Amino acid sequence: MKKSTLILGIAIMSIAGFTVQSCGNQEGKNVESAAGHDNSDGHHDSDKNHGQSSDSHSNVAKTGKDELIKDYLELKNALTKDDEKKASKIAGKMVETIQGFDSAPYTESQQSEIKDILETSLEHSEHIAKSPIAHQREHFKDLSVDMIDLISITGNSTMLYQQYCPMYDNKKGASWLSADSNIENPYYGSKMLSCGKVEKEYK
Amino acid sequence: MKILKRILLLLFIVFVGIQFIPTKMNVSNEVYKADFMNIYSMPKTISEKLVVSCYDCHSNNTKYPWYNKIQPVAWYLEDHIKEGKKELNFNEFGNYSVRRQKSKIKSIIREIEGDKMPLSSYTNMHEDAILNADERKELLGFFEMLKDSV
Repeated sequence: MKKSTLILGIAIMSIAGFTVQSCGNQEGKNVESAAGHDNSDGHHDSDKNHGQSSDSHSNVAKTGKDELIKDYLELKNALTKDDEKKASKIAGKMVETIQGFDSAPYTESQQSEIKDILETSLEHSEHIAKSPIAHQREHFKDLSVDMIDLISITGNSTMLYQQYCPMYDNKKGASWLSADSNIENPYYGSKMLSCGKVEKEYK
Repeated sequence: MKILKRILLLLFIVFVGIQFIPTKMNVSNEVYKADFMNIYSMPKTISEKLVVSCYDCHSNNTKYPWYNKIQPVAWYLEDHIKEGKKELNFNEFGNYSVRRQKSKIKSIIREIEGDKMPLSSYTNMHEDAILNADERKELLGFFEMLKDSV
């Protein structure tokens, strides 16, 4: 009797264990297929994209500050519209833009600063790509600091406005960049779209 | 009944079998020069709390309770620890760039403030890892101060 109880107990443990394992696997698969779907969506845009994204990571297309700022502004716009899905998709694209960033045109000391900036902005983009909107916004705050520091080194090709919301993050405040002087708050979206002011202009 | 017994026996064999599949344990005897506690000074209350509440998943050394050495629990943990160390490894903190250190300190503050870390799945099994109100306040004060001095 005792022995069979023991065996039963162990059996239940191992069944429970397998369930945990297979649930984990299932989750992984879902993520994979979701990512795959996103890619195929991207491919509709043009055949060129298709060719590029099937390349390996070592062969990422070279990018620069303009592509990065463009992605960032798109991300900002998605957050002003409370669009979590779009924000995560753009952040995924931003990861590739960062990985392809060509810092060769800059001086050695600039390059080392840029390297540090890209390292943290890569982490923030990765988090934004896989997180719910509240957490996306938390990382967007830090990503904005990265982008502001980046353009102070690289300069910018188009007019940018640095804007500031004093309320976000327990009233610690947060900045962001916009191509438009009008305030559209990415931290609160529709809840408080016009909260904020222009802090600085980058011509 | 006979069939049930056979199924149970089979499951038992599988359970025993998976114990022989090797798992990489997160254990190391190395002394890390870049360790967070080596590069920044802090009161003992803070360093001890960090080890108990954070270091299991955010350093190269996990203190494994016995049940965590059993499969398939060990596999589940291995993934968790890998992810935790990728995000933040206190043993390697001094090797991070100043910018990354600042970014990590901000994230630590956010996680503690929002009561997101330590994970509840962890504190369920490790009651001593729970941060009470006083401990949370002390840690936040320390990290806020550190954030400005890094």
